Amino acid sequence: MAGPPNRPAGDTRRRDAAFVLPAFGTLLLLPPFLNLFNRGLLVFGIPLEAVYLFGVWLALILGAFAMTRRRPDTAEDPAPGDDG
Amino acid sequence: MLSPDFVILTAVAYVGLLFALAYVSDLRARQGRAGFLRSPLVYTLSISVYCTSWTFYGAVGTAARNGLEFMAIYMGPTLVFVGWWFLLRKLLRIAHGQRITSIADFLSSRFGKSSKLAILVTVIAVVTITPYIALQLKAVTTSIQVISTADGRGRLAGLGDAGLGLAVAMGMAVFTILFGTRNVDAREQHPGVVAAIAFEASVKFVALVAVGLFVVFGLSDGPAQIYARAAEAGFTIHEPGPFGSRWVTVLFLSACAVICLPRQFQITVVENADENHLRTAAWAFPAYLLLMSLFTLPIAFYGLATMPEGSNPDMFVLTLPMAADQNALALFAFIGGFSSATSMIIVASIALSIMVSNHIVLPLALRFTRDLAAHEAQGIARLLLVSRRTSIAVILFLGFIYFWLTGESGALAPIGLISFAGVAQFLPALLAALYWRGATVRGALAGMGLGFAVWGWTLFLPSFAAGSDMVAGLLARGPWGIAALRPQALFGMGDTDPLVHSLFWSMLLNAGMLVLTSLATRQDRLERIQAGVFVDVFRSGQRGQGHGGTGRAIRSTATADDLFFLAERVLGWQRARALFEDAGIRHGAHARGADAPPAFVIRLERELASSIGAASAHILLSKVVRGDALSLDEVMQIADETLQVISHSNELEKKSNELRQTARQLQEANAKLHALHRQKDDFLSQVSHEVRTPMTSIRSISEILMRQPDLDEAQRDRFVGLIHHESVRLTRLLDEILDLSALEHGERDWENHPVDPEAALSRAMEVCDAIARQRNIGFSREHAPVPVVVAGDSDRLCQVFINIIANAIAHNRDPEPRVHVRSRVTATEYQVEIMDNGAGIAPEFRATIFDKFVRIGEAGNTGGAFPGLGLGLNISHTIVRKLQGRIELVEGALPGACFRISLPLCPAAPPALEGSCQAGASS
Amino acid sequence: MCDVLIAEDEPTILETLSFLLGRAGWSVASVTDGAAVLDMVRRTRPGMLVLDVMLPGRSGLDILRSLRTDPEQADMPVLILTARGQSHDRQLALDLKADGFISKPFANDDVVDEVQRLLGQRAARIAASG
Repeated sequence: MAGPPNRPAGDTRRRDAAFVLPAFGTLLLLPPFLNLFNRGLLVFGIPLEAVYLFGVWLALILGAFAMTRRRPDTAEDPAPGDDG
Repeated sequence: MLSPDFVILTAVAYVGLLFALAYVSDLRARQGRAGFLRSPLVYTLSISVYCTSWTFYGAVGTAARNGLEFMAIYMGPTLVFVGWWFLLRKLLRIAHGQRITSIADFLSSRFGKSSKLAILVTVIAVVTITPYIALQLKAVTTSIQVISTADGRGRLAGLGDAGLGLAVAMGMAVFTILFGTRNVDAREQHPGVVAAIAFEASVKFVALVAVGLFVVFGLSDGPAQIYARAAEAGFTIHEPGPFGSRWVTVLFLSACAVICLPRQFQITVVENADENHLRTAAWAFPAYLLLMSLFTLPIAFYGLATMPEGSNPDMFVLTLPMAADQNALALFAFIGGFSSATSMIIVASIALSIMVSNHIVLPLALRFTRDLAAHEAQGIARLLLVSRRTSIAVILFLGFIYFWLTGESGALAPIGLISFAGVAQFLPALLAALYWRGATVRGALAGMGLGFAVWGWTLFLPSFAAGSDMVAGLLARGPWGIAALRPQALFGMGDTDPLVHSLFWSMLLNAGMLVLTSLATRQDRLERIQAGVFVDVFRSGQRGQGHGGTGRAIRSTATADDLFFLAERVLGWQRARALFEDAGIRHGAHARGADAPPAFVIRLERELASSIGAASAHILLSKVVRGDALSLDEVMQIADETLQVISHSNELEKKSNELRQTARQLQEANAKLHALHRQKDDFLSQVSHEVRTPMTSIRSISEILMRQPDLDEAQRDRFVGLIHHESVRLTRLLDEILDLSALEHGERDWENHPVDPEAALSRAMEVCDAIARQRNIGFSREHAPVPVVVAGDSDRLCQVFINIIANAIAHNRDPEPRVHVRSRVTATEYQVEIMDNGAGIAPEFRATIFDKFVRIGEAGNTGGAFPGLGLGLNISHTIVRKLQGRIELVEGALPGACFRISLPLCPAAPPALEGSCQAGASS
Repeated sequence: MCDVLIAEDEPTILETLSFLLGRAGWSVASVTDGAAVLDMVRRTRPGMLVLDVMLPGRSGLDILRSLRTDPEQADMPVLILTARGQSHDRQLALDLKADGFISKPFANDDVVDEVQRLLGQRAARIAASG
C-alpha cells in the first residue's frame, strides 16, 4: 500500500498510518492475540479481557482522532492513484 | 409502578416533540439555514441509529447470556470507521458523484444500472430487515409492558402482545409517513428526520449512561464490587471459553452491517452533506459506541446478581431502576429505549421505502403506463410519494407479522444477527463494486442470489422453528430426509454454531459465485463505463462532485439543466448555448431546475442526432427524460466519451487544416519571396542603369580629358562642368535609394504637425522655378481660396511637390511646354493637382506608375513618356501614404499627365494647437 | 549623309560621343527621341547607327528590329549601347543582328574601334558590291 514514488514521503507515511490503524486494530481484536488476555485475571476487580478490549477500543478511537487532526489535507481531492 | 396510560401518553408526547423538532429542522433546511443540522456532530449522532433497542436493551441481555460477545457488535463498526479512509470515503465519493439514493441504487448503478440487481437487493433488504423491525416492535411492546407492571412479567390490561405490537407498528407507520415522505419533490435527503434521529441518539445515550451510572455508582460501589457480587452469586464473570469463530463471525457481521444495512447506508452515505464529516465520525462514532457499551457488563452482572430468577435480562435497563423505585429514571430509560427503537424503524422504513418505490414500483408503473411522464409533470412524483407511504405501511406490517409469528421465541440478539447475516450478502458485490473492475452484473446477481438463498435456508428459516413443527422437522432431518441439506448442518457441518455455519456457507458461495461468474461472463458497455467510474472515482478527479450539489432528485422529468448538461456534453458549450438561447430555454441559475418543453426535447434530440447518430441520441435523451435506468452521470459519461472521440477527430482535422494552411502560407511566402527576388533583380538592374548612365559620362569625359591634352580651355571647362553635373546626379540617386530604404522600413519616424501645405507648395515651386525657366516652361499656379492646415511634415511635403513638378518639367517635350499647379480645398481634403501638356502617361503604365522599381519603357515595349523616372515617384507615393493621403493620376485640364495629391484636412484648424493634430500613422 | 548617327537621350553622353567620334574624323548626327530614329536614318542615310537601348518614345531594340525588316536599311551597321550590362540584353541584341554591343560605362577607345570596324566592314561591302 505504498504510495506512488512521485508522492511526497510525508503523504505516503500518513497514508500508511491510515492503513496501519484499522489493520493493527483488527489483528488485536482477533482470537490468537485476543486469547492472550483471556486467562481469568482481574484488574482492579474487572476481568482482564474486558479491560483489554476496552483498552484497544479506546486506543483505536484516540488513534483515529489523532490521525484526523493531523490530516487536514483530506479535504483536498486526492492525487490520481490514491484510490484508497 | 407506572400506569400504562401514562407511559403511552409519555411516548406519544415524546413522538410529538420529535415531530416538532423534525418540522422545525425541515423548515430551517428549506430556508437554507441548516447550519448546525449539517454539522459533523449531527452527522455522527445520526449514524448512531446503528444502536437500536437491541443495543439499548439487548446488549445487556447478550452480556448476561454470552459474556463479551456483545462488544464484537460495536467493534466491527469501530474498525470500519477507524479505517474510513479506505472504504467509506470512496463509498461517499462515488455516491455523491452518482447521486446514489440507496444501497440497491449503488450496486445496480455500478453493475451497468441493472434493474434486476436493484430488485434483488431490494427484496433481500426487505426480507432481512423485516425481522429487525420486528425486533424493535418486540422491544417496545415488551418495555411498555415491563414498565407498567412491577415485576416485568405482567400483562398490560386489556391489550395483548399482538395488539400492542400492532398499535406500535401503526403508530410508527403514521409517524414515519408524516416524517419521511413529507417532501413532494422526492428528494432522498431528509434534514428533519436526521435532526430527529440525532436528537433521539442523544436521548438514548443520556438515558443509558444515566442508568449505567445509577447502577454502578448508585446501587453499587463501582464496577469492581459488581463483579465481586456476581462472582459471589455464582456467575462466571470471565469468558467461559476462548474467543473463537463466533467472536470473529460477529465482528465480521457487524463490520458488514454498518456499511450494508439499508438504514446505515441511508444515514452514512445518502444523507451525508459533506464528505469531511467522516473525519469527525471516524473517531466520534466509535467513541459513542464505547460509551454506550461501557455500562453494559456491570448492568448485566448487577441484574443477574440481584434480580429474581427468571427475569428477562434484556429488560434489566428498565427493571433495575424500577426495582430501586426510581420511576423517573425508569421512565427516562423507557424513553431512551423507545428512542432507539423508533429511530431505527423510521430510518429503516424510509430507506426500504425508497428502494421499493424506486426499484420495484416505479419501473413497474413505467412499464404499464407508458405515458406517465408525459401525462403531467407531477405524475411520477405523486406516484413515488404514494408508493413510499404504502411501502412504509407494508414494511411495518411485515415486521409486525414476523413479530407475531415468532411470538415469544428467543431473545433480541439472535434476531438482530439474522438480519446482519442477511445484509452481509451485499458485501462481496459491494467490495467488488469499489475495487474490482472486472466484476460483472451476472456475477453479482449469481453470488448475491446464492448467498441470500443459503442465508434463508440456514439462518432465516430455522428462526421459525419454535413456531412451526414443519420447520423443526426440517432442521432435524433435512428436506426429503437428505441429511446433507439440513439447514444448520450443510454437508454435515453440524458441530458449528448456526450463525457461523450460515455465514461460512453463504459468504463462501456468494463470493465464490461472484468471482467465478464474473470471470466467465463479459461486461456490457455501460457496465464497463460504470465500473471505471466507481473503481477509479479518485482517479477521475472532481467529476464525482462536479454536479453532486444539485441533490438527488429522481429524474422523473427532464429539467432544462439536465438537457443542457447533456447537450453541452454532446454538442459542446457554444452550440448548446446557442441552441438553448435560440429556443428561449433558460438554464443554469435562472432556470431553478425548470422543465424544458417537450417540443424542445424533440428538437434537441434531432440536434444531438446530428452529432452522435439518431439511435444514441434517442437513447441518451430518453434516459434523461424518463430518468429510470440510467442516471444523468452515466449519460454524461457516455457523452463525455463521445465528445472525447469527436474532439480527438476534431483535433486531427484541425491539425491537418493547420498543416494545409501552413503549406499554403509557405507557398505564398515562397511566391512572395520569388516576387521580391525578381523585384530585387529589377531594382539592381534599375539602379545599375541609373548609376551607369552618369558613370558613363564621367568615365568617357575623364578619358577624353586624360588623352586629349590639346583641348582648349572652354572645352575643358565644359567637360569638367559636365563631370560635376553627373557626379551630383549620381549623389542624388544614391540619396534617393537610401531615402526610399528608410521610408520603406519606417526607420525615419516623423512627427506629424499641423502645417500649411500652401507654404510647402510655394517653396517647392520656387525651387522648380529655376529649372522651369531653364527649360523655358510656362509655369503657373492657382492658390487655394482659404487657409489650409493638414497634419504632416512640411519638408516631406515639399519633397513630394518638387518631385512631381520636376518630373512634369523634365519630361515635357511639348514645343510650348506648360506646367500648371492648382490647389483647392474640398469638404475633407486639401488637393494639389500638378498637370502638364506633355505626352502624358501611356494607359498601360497608369496603374503601376507609383510602384517601386517600375520602369516605364522596358526594352521591347512601346515606350511611354517617362522612361527612367527613378525612385522619385515611389518615394512620393510612400510619403503621401504616410500622411494619410493619396497620390493619383487623374484627368487634368491640360492634355498631359495630371498628378493629384490629396491630404486629409486637419480638424483642429489653428496651427497654434500644435500636437493636437497628429495623423494616425506617424511611423 | 553622315558617317555616324547617334541615337542617345542622355545629353551628356551624346555630347561626349559626338566629340569623340567627330574628333576621330567622322561626321556625326544625333537624335534623342526613339520615335524619330527611323525617320532620321531614312533621311540622313548614315554610315552606321550607334543606338542606345533605353530611349524615350521607342526602345532601341525595337528600332533595331524595324531596321532589320526594312530591306533598304537591313544592312545598316548598328552598334548597341546599353547601361544594362546583363548578358541577357547582349544576347537579345545579337539575336536581332546587331553588329556590335558595348555596355556603359565604356572605354572611349572601344567605341572608336567598333565604329571603325563597322564602318570598315560597310566600306568593304560597298566596294565588293560595286
